[in-house]
Amino acid sequence: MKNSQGQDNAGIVRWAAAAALVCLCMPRATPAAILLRDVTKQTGITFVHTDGSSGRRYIVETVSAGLALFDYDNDGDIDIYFLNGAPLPGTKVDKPPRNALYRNDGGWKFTDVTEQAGVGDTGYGLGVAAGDYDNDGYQDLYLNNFGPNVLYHNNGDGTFTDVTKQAGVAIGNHVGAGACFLDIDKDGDLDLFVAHYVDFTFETHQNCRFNGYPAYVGPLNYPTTSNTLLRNNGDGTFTDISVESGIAACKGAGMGMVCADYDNDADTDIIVGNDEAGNFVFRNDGTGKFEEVGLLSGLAYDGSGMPQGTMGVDCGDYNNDGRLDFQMTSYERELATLYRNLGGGSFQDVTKTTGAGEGTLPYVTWGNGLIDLDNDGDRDLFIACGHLHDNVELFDNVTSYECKNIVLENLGQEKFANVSEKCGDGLQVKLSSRGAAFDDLDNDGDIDVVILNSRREPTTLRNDLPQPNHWIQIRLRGVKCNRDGVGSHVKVVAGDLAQLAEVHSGRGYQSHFGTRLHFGLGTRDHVDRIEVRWLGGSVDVIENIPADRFVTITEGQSQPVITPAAKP
Amino acid sequence: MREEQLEAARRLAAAFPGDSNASFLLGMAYLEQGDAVEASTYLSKSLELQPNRADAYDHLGQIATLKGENERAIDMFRKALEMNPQMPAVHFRLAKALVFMGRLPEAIAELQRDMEIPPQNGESHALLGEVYAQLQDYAGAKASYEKAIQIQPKLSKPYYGLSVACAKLGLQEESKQYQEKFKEIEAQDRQAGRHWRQVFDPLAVTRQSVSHTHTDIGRVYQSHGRVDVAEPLWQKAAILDPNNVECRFHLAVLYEQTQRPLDALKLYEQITRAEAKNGAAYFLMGSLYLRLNRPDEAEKTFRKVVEVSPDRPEGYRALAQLYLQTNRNWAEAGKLAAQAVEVEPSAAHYFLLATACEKNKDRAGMLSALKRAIELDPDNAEYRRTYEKLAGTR
Repeated sequence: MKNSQGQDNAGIVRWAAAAALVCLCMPRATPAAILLRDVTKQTGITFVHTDGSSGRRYIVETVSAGLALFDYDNDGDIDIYFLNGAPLPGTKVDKPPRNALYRNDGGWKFTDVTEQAGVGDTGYGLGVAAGDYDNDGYQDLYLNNFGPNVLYHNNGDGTFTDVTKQAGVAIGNHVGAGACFLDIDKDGDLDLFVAHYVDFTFETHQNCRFNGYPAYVGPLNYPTTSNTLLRNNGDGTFTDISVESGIAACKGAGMGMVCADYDNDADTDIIVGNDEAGNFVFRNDGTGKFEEVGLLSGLAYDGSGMPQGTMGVDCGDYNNDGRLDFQMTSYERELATLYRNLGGGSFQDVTKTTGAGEGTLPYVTWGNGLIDLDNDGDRDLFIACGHLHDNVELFDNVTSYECKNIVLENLGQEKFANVSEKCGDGLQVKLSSRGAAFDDLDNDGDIDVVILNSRREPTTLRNDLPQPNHWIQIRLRGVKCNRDGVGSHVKVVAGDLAQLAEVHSGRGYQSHFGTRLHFGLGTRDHVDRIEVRWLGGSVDVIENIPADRFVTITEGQSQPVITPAAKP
Repeated sequence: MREEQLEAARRLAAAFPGDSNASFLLGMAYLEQGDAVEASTYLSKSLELQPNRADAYDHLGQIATLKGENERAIDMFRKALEMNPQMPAVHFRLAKALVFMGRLPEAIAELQRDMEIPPQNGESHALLGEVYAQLQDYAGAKASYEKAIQIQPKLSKPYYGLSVACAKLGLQEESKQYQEKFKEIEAQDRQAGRHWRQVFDPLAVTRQSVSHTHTDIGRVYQSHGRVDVAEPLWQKAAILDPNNVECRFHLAVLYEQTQRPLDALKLYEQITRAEAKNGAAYFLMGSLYLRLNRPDEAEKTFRKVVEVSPDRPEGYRALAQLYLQTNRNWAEAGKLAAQAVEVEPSAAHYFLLATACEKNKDRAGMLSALKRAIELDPDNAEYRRTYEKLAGTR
């Protein structure tokens, strides 16, 4: 039936009902429980990032760089590895800048151990992943540079050896992006996916002007490139299988990435964000052969069908429905986008209906994490912001080169709220952020944050959670599976709360973090059940574990190693 | 050049601090510089001076949208629509802000209003499709996306939406077809984007922008009687952008009014070079040739009006009048007058037809046309007088 305006009355009733339902389902407003303190100055970290720029505006300057949070010395606390740029033509330096490894000495003190560890690469750093490729119990480092890449083998004694040449993983003179270790064929060792940005050389360099001001060009000014997949031969060497695996068939402008079982078929797939092009979803057939299904999955384009300038890619189950959802950061005037996993390898952009993009539109957004910052049992969003044009305010002051980062609290019931202004001084820092990484740096049970800022010192944020919510953190020890359990799923059930996480190596914006899985538990003081689905198929179940513990689960063993939290 | 643009707008605002248009133009000049902060200040000031400016509310809404301030954007767009409910695209922009806020039923209502205002826009239907899809009404989404591609077949988004909606509706084959079409159009868009980047000339864009600002500023000076200031601004605008037709029209009219017909002629020539199908410019040029007593050039130019604007009556009318006034081509004049009547059956055109019929000794046609002219304009004394005079004669 139609009314006098020719509208369908049934339709109006339907939409009125929908509106009423939306109102009824609005989650309760709760005061922000997230408190992040800027403790940068007390950490002793003196690293300063350089993009190697001299004013010539090479495109690579804009995308540097990521960082890694990993426990390089297996002492139980998380250390920090910062990537650095390198002098580009036109820039002269007395001492070449290098990457830096900071050992976590506890008590928020970090010591620069780059020299003794031997990881001070002076290449142009863009992406990094940590992974124990030789299953010796120590995480190694892979650096995805502009120029030859580097593989540092962790010797287990606090030092690393550059094994790039013998491993055969330098790849060549690509512009690097994200990198991930993953086990493509479930043979128990970690293979390596290396994303590349655009086909740029100094000879093909271009720049442009906006309103008369010099500016960087974007990725569409350069040809696209395909990515590289390297199979671990199990003897310390790798073989390039990009062509036979199906990876080389697709060309894009790769940025951040994550390897995850997006379709829950018990193998690891590859999700690569592309800058100003549809994102890639390489579906694994279980044997290490891949088919690109980005468009089919709903992850290639935003809900409007528009390609985004995707920067960072992370995944996590934000609505605790047992499926991994994806979140991607993007360029100015695009919302950082949240994709809900609908099951069956299908996703829906839910950014606007959940509010998960609130506050991001004016900014270029980079590092990202779907992480539980308030230990309430659901995953919040941290989004690092900063423009790539250092002079953007001269021709567009809706945005800014240096700006505050954003925290979106998960309120439950598919709603997020931008609580950045209530999160303490850590969210008042205004710099031009790139990579962001998240882990419990002081082992007190909550997730802290380290951010790499372009051309500046990094920012370290301590989580001072005001509410005593419970938590549990789980480290996997693979036996048949790769040593760190990369690609394995862990389900934690505590009363009415069931959560899922997957072990990743390489994620967010060209960064690495979160090898030790973190679960907030809210007021639940113990975990009823932990179920590990190891990559490879075996399943271990552990029951009745007290909360607020670090738990190490070894494949095939029923008794986990349980360690309490550090004393405040 | 950008500084010059801003400076010209600043001088205007200083010269006429109580003129809303002056503040508005300064706000727009700041916006052109990418300075949304100052732009907001002066757009707001223009609203203080003239609170019913829908255009200022609209621009404030657009700025708020870019800043991610969706509540404010919604407020501004609603105010713009209060002032002018038919303002093109504002319902669409309001709907987008509502979608950003997740207020989907309200967005649907705005999009439906947008669609009532011509011309139809594929983007509105595509957004409506997206909203329906968010609400999981995939049949509704499909219908909206289909409408979008009917209107804009080269828009990629609706094909994407259709591939998703069809898949949800179990129409797998259709979904696959739309997916392929999306890939094809998206690849074309990417290619076009790459090409655009290769040929993009920022200086030309700046020149166009500054040229248009000078044109608008000149209009405000003119409205205050300061054509002495307006003229050099329009001249500068013409130099900066060879395709700026508006400033050339302003200058040409000014030159005609100030007895500089040859300068005006040059400008009309420039306009027709920039826009080969600008019938109005040819018409004005032809009229000027007539005033300059250059009937042959006038005839040629009026023929051009007929050629480029066959759906407008001016060319037919002017040519017919020319033949009648110069006592030649009466038969042709009759045909042209009849065409003018056909395109626009106004009293004046019937009267012209009557005059042509008289010259062609077509008494019946003449009387019939005169009768029709009187019917359409019964108060016109000249028509009546002519009818009475001619009806009584044989």
